[in-house]
Amino acid sequence: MIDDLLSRTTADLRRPPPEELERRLMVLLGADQPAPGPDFDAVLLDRLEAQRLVDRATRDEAMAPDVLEPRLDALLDLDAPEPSATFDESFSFRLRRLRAEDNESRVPPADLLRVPALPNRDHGFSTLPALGRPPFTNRHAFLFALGAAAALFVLFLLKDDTVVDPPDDQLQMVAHLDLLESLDEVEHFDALSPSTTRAADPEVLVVARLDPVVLEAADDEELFDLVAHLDELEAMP
Amino acid sequence: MNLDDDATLMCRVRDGDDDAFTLLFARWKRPLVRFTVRFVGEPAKGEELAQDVFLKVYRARERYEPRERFAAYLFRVATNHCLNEVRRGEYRQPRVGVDELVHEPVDDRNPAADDMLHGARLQDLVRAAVCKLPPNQRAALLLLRDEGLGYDEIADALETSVSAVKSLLNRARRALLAELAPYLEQPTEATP
Repeated sequence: MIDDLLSRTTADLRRPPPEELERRLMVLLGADQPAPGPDFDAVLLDRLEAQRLVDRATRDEAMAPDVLEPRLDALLDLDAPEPSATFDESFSFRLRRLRAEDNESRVPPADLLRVPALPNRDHGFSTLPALGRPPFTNRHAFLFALGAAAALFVLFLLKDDTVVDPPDDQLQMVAHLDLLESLDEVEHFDALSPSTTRAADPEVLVVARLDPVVLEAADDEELFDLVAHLDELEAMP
Repeated sequence: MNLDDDATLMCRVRDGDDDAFTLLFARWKRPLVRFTVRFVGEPAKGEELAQDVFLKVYRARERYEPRERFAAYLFRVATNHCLNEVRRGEYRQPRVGVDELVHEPVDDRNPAADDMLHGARLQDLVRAAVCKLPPNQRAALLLLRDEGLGYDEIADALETSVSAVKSLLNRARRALLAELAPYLEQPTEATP
């Protein structure tokens, strides 16, 4: 047993170290240096050419219109955007706003002037509903303005104490001036302040807000008569 | 002339039936959004344009005359609106360009997420490619492929001739084939 161990140790001592073994292995491996054969290049070139032909055929087949077109269509089908979750709500809001604006723009100006029954209307015809509509002729405009002027005069005479702000005479003056201005320049809408229009009698408003188109349509003679009549009315005690 | 259902509905809208407009909106919002979003390449802007088109149709309801299919009428309005918008230059190009998409890294650890990401990127890529087309080619392509308009209807929408439309479509397809060539070598899997 002891002899066996001694002999193994001796054998181990005689074995070269691992580094030496590795070096020897590399030398042995290096001894085998196969080189390409004489027809190696030609064979390789033939095989490369064959591969190129296969590739080209495959690509041609893949790129044929009858193959590509369906693939393109399939690719294009990938993008199919859908309305977002808020699309309906957002559109509904915009539509409601459009309808509101629509309704607002459809109201004729005369509707804004439509007031409850006029307490001192004595001219015998209905003026306001027809204001600005096609049958409204120059004669109507003249009569209308005349009636309004009469209402002004009544206001002037009554000097209604209920109208406190602004005072009656001031209100009449404003309305009268506006009327005259409208006859001359047909620009009177901005002349009355909101407080004045709120306090004014509906008939005065009618005068002050006469449709400029209507006034413009009246001929000079009619307007002259109207102004003269107003002056007469004011000159009366 | 025989009116299609939608043209009949539009006639009812013209005559003051707002419920008919609600029906038309429900029927056509998806095709219209698809068209406008793909046209401008931007979902938010596309939806806004689709709403604009519906509002235009509503605003012009009193002048509506059923001389053609309603689809042709609707998409003619849409095409004009989108072309005007593009000419005004008030829309942005798609967020991701084709070149950027090609080289984006993918997540190898999660194949499902990778598939989804790949699908989404492919969708963006297709949208970007369509958006790179000139506006008229884009309109012609989308009107034909997605909305099923005929050549004459597309010609009407683009105010050009039928032969010009065919030329536009041909050029559009060739441009897309070139742009998307790397993605055409393999068949595209159908979307789920």
